[in-house]
Amino acid sequence: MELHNMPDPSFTFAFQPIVDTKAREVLSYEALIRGPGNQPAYQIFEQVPAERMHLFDEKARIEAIGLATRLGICCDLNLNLLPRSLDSSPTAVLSTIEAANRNHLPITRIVLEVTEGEVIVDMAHFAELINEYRGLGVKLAIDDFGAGYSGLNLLVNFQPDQIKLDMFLVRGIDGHGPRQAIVRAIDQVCGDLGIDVIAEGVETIAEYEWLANQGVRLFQGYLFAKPGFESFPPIHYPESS
Amino acid sequence: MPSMIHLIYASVETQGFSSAQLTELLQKARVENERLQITGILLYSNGNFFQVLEGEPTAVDEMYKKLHLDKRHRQLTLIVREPITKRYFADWSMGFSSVTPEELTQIGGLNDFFHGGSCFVGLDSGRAKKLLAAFAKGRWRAKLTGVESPGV
Repeated sequence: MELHNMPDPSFTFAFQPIVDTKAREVLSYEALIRGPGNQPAYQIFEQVPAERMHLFDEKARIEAIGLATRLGICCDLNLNLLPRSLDSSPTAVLSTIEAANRNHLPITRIVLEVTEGEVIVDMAHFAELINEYRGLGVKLAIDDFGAGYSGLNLLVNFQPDQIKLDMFLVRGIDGHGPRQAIVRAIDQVCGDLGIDVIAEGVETIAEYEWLANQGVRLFQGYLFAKPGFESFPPIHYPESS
Repeated sequence: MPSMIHLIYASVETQGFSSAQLTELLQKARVENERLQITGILLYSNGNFFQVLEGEPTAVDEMYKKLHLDKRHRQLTLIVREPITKRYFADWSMGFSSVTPEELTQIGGLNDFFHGGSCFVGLDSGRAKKLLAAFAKGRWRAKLTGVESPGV
């Protein structure tokens, strides 16, 4: 069967906010892929053949923009991108931009998220490809930052708009010296380069307070809001102590 | 629409600049930047320069190359050069931390970055604004003679 004509598994999205706890406002919603019955993302991806993954990836972003628009999004929208899609499909990002245009969502509200592990292969090449779209206003975030082996080296060739601290660095940071030292260093580097730092997977008030004291103000995690299935969930802002 | 970039760098003075020399620098640079259709901002504080240049890639790159030949500063440090969607600055202006209120009103092209910072507050959030905030907080200063408190 032709790759383009293969049926994809049905899917939809949950949205989890990235909040600015200082301004107490939502910076963005990340679209997270889900099954029609709120099944987790991996159950959807395991039904997609590897050779079709980049097409599925592209289609998912278009659907996410449609759903977010119907829900009345009025902030940024973070969408995941498989960096290899840029090579395998010339329309990988253009179709996202077109979908934003069709839905009257300003392109400057689109943030593409790529994971550190996937970018590492050829950063200079990736930078060249993605910079073309950044000139159109698309923003770029590096997801799971600090999880891979490249770490800060990634920022030599290319400075994204945001990095999302890997959960592994955030978990229990309030009582863990090495994690604190690493996150302080990342925060300093990002401050010097004008990159926003988002702490992901924050689950406890102690983790939040340590990070907030360090100057981090952008957060995503269960402490603030769980992903809302086909909806923008209610948000809980922790009391500052 | 031609593509547009911004280039942001920091450098250090080779010898002290007097107010008059800074004003002369400002006036010459303004003419040159207008000719090349370069917009942006140049800040000077305690011997440290910090500049945002925006415009067409060839014009900006040519200007940055030329700046390397200028003996009045050294240690040029390229912080970022990347595409932008639109210009963040309407023109090219300069801010000195040592400026007097009289100079601010009298000299064209002088901004109030270090004094009230309306030129900063009005700026769209983005890389340039974040980096200017970092410089204001004392980052990217190779010459350390105490940080003057900025107006932002």
